[in-house]
Amino acid sequence: MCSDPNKVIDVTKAVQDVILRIYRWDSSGTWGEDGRLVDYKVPVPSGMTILDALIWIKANLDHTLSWRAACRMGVCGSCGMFIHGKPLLACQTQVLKLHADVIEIRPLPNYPIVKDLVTDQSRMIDAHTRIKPYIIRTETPPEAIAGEFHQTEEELVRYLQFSYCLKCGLCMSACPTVASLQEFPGPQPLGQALRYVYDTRDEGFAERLQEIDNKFGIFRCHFAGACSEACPKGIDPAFAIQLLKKEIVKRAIMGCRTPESAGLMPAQQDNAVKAPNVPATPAFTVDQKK
Amino acid sequence: MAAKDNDLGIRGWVYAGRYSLQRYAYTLQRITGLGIILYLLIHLYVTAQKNAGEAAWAGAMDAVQPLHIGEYFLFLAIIIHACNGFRLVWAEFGLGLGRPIKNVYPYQTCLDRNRIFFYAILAVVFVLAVVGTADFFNLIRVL
Amino acid sequence: MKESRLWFWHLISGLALILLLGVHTVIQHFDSILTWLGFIPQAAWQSGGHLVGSLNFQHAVLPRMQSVSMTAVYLLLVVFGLFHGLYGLRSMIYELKFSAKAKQVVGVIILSIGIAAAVYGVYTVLAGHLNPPLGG
Repeated sequence: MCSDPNKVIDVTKAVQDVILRIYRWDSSGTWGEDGRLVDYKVPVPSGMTILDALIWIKANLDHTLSWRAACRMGVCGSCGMFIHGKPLLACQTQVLKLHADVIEIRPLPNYPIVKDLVTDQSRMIDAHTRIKPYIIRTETPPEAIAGEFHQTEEELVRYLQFSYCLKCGLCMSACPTVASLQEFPGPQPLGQALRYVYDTRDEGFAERLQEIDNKFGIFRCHFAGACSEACPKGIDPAFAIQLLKKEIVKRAIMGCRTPESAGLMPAQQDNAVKAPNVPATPAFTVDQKK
Repeated sequence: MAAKDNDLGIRGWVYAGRYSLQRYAYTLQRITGLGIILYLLIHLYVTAQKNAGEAAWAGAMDAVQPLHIGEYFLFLAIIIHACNGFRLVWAEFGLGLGRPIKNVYPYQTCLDRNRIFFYAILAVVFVLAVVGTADFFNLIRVL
Repeated sequence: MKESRLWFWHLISGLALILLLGVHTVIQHFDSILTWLGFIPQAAWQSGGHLVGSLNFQHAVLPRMQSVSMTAVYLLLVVFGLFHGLYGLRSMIYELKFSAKAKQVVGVIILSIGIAAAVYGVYTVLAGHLNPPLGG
């Protein structure tokens, strides 16, 4: 569907009515012990997102409906929901693009429900904390590091893709192992473990290995790949986890030497000139041709 | 504050949402794997009867004769598990998935880069299934 | 043993099984093709009983039992097959929702089944050599 870019679209005029079938539950039992699906009829104009529709319902139909959201533009990762059979960000999903007259919206699976579409994501945050999501150096005290570490662009690209994680938790909802094994860290924490293992400044491989090389750890991932399908930022957690396994084979099983971590940049000179190969502005992160 | 448990549990292994075929290859791998390991334990016991001589062997073979059609499904399970498993071993060693790239929307994942491998595996399974079926039902002698 | 090593051997045994089980499956099941190629003697089909082809005791089962290369294939099949299969089974059970303590018990049970089945399997395979006049 390629539309004329010059065509003016009236985003205030509803194109069609869509029924949002939303899961409701609260701890006081208003919607019964197991909760209930409730239908809300929403007049949908072109471009309306699921989040817009939820806001419209709260303003016009039922002000008791709860969900979580903040930035409205796919940056904060708060509005993850199970929309029309897939974990998605409500703010990045347009109602009409789902091509359905009835859209079922449930809270993200594999997290406890707090109320309606609001889930408690502490399971992911706890596991994320356990894999030590920061650069670990052996210098003591850390203040002994005087200067900046040197890193080439190739070394940056190796982990850059994995560093855009929003902690929205959609991958955890998609993962079949997270669904049944409480002790499994999950795709988000494991993916972030690789982000730091692949960072040339980091020296924490052995420390993180202790956290993930156990019977409920990284090897309970079987590359179903659902996490990568669900990720709204192209982090590709399934890829990160397989690369981490490769790194474990190389360093912990084959006994390959751990590559040397990055050294410090030489102290800057007053008369320093900009290196000719440093690009002036960062490249676009959206394909300009599409 | 009370919260309601919402884990998919074992249901999440079987069906979790509108995901691609690669996601459901995982489910198939589990089911076929379970079938094969149960068969292996029975198979060890049954074929061990060969050591008791020809009569015992014939007796054991006669006893399992009613389950003969099960052997056909076992064959299908083995080729699916083996072919998909071959893809998974490489993937779990981090091979055949490409390299980390700069994120440019629309995003590309390792599943996209692995898909050609997946379809090739499906083709191999299909060919082996046709040959195996022809052999199992003695279609070759008919031809 | 560390989980990473068990998992590593799970993958390696998986690769080995593709080869071994490939050989095993072809020998046991692609009867008509193998006879046509001459690997199963015509005599195996003409012995009168209903156990013909690769199931025929005198012409197919006994020669396999006494062949050194087939014995090697069977030994590897028993060891790799049991390890790969039982590690996979243990994975699945560990991924179920119940207490870590109970999982430890299940782990010990699976290990015991594995050792018992491996001993039984190895004995079964070697019996063809320990007892030459077997079935005669």
